[in-house]
Amino acid sequence: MNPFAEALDLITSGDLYVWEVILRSIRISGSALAFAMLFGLPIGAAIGLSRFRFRRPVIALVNTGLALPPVVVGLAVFLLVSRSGPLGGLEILYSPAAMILAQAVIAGPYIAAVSLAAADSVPPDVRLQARALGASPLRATLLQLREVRTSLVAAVAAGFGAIISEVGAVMIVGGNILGETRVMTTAIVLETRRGNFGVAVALGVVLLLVALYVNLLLLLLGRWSIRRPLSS
Amino acid sequence: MGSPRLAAGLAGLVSGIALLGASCAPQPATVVLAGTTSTHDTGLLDSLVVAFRADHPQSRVRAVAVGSGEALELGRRGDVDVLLVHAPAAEFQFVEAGHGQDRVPVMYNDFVLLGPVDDPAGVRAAGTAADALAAIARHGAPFVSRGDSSGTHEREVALWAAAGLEPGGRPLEGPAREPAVGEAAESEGVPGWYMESGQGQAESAFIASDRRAYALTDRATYTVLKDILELEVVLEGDPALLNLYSVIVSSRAAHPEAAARLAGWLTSEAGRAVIARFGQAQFGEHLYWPLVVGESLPFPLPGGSPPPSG
Repeated sequence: MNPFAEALDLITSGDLYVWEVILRSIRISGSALAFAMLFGLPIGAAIGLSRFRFRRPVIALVNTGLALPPVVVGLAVFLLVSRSGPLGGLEILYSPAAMILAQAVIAGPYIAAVSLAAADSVPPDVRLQARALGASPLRATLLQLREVRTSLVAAVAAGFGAIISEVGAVMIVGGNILGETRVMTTAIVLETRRGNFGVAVALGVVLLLVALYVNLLLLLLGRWSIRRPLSS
Repeated sequence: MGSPRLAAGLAGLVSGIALLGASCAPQPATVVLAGTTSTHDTGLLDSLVVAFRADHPQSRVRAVAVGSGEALELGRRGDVDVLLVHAPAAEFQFVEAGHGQDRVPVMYNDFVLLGPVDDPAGVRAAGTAADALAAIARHGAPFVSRGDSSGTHEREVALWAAAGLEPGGRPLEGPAREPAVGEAAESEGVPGWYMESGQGQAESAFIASDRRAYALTDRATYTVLKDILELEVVLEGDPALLNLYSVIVSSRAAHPEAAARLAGWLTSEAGRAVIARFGQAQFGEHLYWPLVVGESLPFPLPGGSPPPSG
């Protein structure tokens, strides 16, 4: 059967397993994305909009975060939350919480690096004009970021793409436990190991469809923020 | 797809990649050996490949570690040439369907049931593996299943059946069914104590250790990992726990001669010597026992005295 037909079949068959795995993927990667935005966007915007000594080395450092191998992040989080680790008392190893933590660490640099590049491209006179017209410093900053909102949406999309498709970290800290920590990517690995290549490919197609859906939502969000007046 | 320039560019790109690939490809026929995750996690697979290369410097062999389920599927497709697997029931089906030939049992060790030191389900008192699983189900004690159609998973399912239970503890109804895709997921009936990791031998043991759960694993993996696992062997020695590894040559092997040479070596005196020596230096005990063709299977199971042919 062709993978697209099989993917459609998987989604429409009302198979609880598939839906459960899809929803868990979205829930975990969505939560991780929210956390990553909390620290990624401000860091990226702050570095991109300001001028200070050693700015270039700092930018290089942020961009290097893009090269963080997910599997290494997974290993670090594993050691952190495993029973003998510093956060072992939380007992979150092999749980969604550990997966969210790992994915937030992976997505953060993506969001920071892309939003940094976006903020960096804002012409400085935007701020000067805004300030001259009486805008507060915070207002001026928001106006600057508004200039590059499309790129900021791209930053969030990049972060989401990095983690929804990531398998190394969630496998290590989540454990791929059925009904608890099995997400789309780890399910794909499992079906491959079982020799069910057709199902594995179909799940891959489902993953892409989910990513497409989320990106459409992000685009809508970006457009909504354009129409919305800045002042309330 | 209309533009001829685009088409030409694509063709150029593809042929470039192909050339690049070809230049890296080894000249002599490369035989691909599919081993199990358990033999890879312990290091046996690599040792066998190194020793084979030393004996046959002109031969090329590459080993991949996959679950027995995937190994058989890869063998059916002709993507791997020789299989070293431990899922007897699936192997017989595989050979019967004409996907492979020359199945030769080559070595064995045994499965052991691992559990928390305090043994909440009282498995140590159980006489057989089936009784042990029944006790675990009765107590609802945490149990980590591989759940990945591997040889170990196949055996676990068989042991549940021997206990008259479905994996997860429900009584069996009617004849055993072929497990379907995501079937494991009919989570309505599967209670919380039964966890499916869908991962390899070592990873599943780690999860069991963290969750203070029971798990079925092979003795070699346990020996290699026992220092970092907070688990003990709570049941061993049941003949139903014999773990038999066999070599099979895929019917669609790309290089049948080279594949037969590798399979022949694995089952030869030289191959068996590597298997017998493996792990002695590091762990001071056999991890696998080589098997002599035609010799009857050894009982009682290893863990104690070496078999006659060692």
